[in-house]
Amino acid sequence: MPSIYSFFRYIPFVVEGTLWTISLVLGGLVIGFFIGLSLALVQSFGGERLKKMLNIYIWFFRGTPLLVLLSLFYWAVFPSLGLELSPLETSIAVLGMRSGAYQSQIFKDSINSVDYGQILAARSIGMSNRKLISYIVLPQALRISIPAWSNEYAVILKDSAICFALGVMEILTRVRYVSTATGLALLPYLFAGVLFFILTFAGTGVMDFVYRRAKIPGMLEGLR
Amino acid sequence: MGKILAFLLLGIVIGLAAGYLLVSSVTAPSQNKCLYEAGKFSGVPKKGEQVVVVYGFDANYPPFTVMQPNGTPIGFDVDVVNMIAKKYGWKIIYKPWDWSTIVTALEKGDLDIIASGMTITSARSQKIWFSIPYYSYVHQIVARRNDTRSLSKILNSGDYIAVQSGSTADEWADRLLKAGYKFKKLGLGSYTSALKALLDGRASAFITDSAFLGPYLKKNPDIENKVKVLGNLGAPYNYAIATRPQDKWLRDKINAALEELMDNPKWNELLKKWGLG
Amino acid sequence: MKVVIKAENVWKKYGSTIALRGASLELREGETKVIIGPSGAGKSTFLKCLNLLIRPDEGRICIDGEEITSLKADIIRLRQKIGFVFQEFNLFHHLTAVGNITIGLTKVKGMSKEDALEKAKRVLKMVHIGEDLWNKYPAQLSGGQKQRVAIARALAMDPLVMLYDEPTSALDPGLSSEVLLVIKDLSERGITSLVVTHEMGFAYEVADTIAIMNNGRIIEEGSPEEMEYMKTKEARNILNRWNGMKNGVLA
Repeated sequence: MPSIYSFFRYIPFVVEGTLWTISLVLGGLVIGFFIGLSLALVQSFGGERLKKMLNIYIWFFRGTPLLVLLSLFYWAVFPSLGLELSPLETSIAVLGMRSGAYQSQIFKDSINSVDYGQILAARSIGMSNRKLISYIVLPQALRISIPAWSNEYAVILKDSAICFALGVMEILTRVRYVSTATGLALLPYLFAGVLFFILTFAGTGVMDFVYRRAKIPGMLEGLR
Repeated sequence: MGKILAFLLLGIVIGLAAGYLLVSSVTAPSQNKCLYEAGKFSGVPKKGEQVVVVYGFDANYPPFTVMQPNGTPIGFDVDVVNMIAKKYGWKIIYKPWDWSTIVTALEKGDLDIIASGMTITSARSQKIWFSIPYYSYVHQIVARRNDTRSLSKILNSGDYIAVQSGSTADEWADRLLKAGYKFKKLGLGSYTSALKALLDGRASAFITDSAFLGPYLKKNPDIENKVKVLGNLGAPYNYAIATRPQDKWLRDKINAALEELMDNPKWNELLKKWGLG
Repeated sequence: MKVVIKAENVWKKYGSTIALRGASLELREGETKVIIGPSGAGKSTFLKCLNLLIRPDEGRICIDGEEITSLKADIIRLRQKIGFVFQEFNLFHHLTAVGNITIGLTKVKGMSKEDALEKAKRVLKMVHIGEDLWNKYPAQLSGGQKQRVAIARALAMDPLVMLYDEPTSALDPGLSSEVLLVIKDLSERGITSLVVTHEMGFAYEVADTIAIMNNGRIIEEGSPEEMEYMKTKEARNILNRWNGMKNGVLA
């Protein structure tokens, strides 16, 4: 009979995986943020041809399974560009590019939800497009994005497990190994669940903090 | 407002910095870059040069490869690789890799060898070349001991039959379905979880290979009392060590070492140690 | 007196509907002009064309002697000469009353934060927004307060002329008067104003000239006293229909 004690010796091994998971999630989210925001701005304010090109990007990254993207970029795309990225770096880059495709939709929606009247008003006091985007549209759009963005954090946390396809030993891979090694099915996964819960909780906690700090009376109440 | 934007930006910068630090610190020790040219082990290495072999495995397959609490693997295959390495004085780098991409990783040079209960198949042989086989097994179909139905009854019962998804057992299930048997396939993540499904009653049978089942039942006698082998499927399959086609020198060395090992009486001890004898 | 805005033969089409059919208008320094006309006459479109929030298909518009419709025009700079007040206020939701005003001063005019704040307070006082409301966000203000902040926002940029696009039609009748009083007050201080409104009482009381717009163009203009002697039948009909509103909101 598998002993529960045998699992405890594996706890440090599993916990070490959080480091990898956190780098994947954090790196992916940050890269995705910049890609997503740029894509969204072009989609809302850019020219038609550029929009079409970006739609191809979004369609590609949303439509292709993550496993395929990881293999493709690690073994084909990056090497052909002369980039020697490690599996972890590749995983972060791919998670980021993919998340960027998803985040662009979040930001696009929130940019569109800033009503056009305010853009007219900003123009009427002599703001250029660049100024009105940075001082009027983005401050509101980013606030509006926060709830959906928290959700993206949870999604990418879940997706990070697939990065083992490139040998990145994040939490779930380790747990799978531990489950096999100890013959315990429930306990290791329960433990992983707790780790993920803590990560999710911490992440949404940070977002909630930002949300509260950024909150403006009457602007976001209806959106939660 | 400016403050909040600055706050956001600061957070992003810190996140980037932290991410980068994490990446660089985590990468350094355990993520050695494996950017060897193809043909790394084609010819005899220079005199006095340390041969470093990156050993890829998916530690999901007791008793061949299992993960230890310290992050290194143990198991029958690990012992075999270590014995070969000891004979020649090679240095081994253990590299866990997902089974779904492990062949590509070997081809592209992330790994140098795979010894992880890898069956010789013709599809794999087109991309990677195998050493001489060091273990053979057959596929078996297993039911609960208290199930009195015959093999053909169970195969035509419409019940679930559990397999590990993507394994050779999975291929057997497909082959049986194609042959017209009436059951439903229950694909699970590992052999152990497929066996659990049988014990739970979620499946009426379980297709496995003897390489997994024998040692596992030996280790878990309480489970052995609950199941029975209904029959074998097809001819034996072989496990071998996979290498890149062009790494002829390495493969020759491995083959020579394997032959020597298997001739030695210690081989049987090794098999016994892992419940395979 | 100097002509601040001169619009000649302005046309604007939206698909198959023609919103403006050669509208022309002249506004002199210090003048207060009210544009009236039935809905769909193109008043709002015309007003937005004047600072190129809508680009007309045809026609020439000059602001302070510079042609804003020219392709070489520095629209950003010329727009600053025109204060625009919208029907729906269009305050920036994420900024306080003061912030709505200072953002333009600091980011467009390049003023220091302190100077901008000083100025914001001054214009807010001009539109009768008390200190208790300075740090309120738009959602915390009443409609009338919002519109007065919007007027202050436009005013703070020191425009040559203020354009008001139906400034009270989104307000409850009770709240209209506080806004109209402010506009009247500003007009009496000599600020050049162009007002599109349905408030006939206000028009008769405040306007130097009333322009009647119908079917995408200005059909006739005149002082409030001349309204009874309009030359065209079209103008007289419109006026008759609107006379019911003459008993103004400004007591």
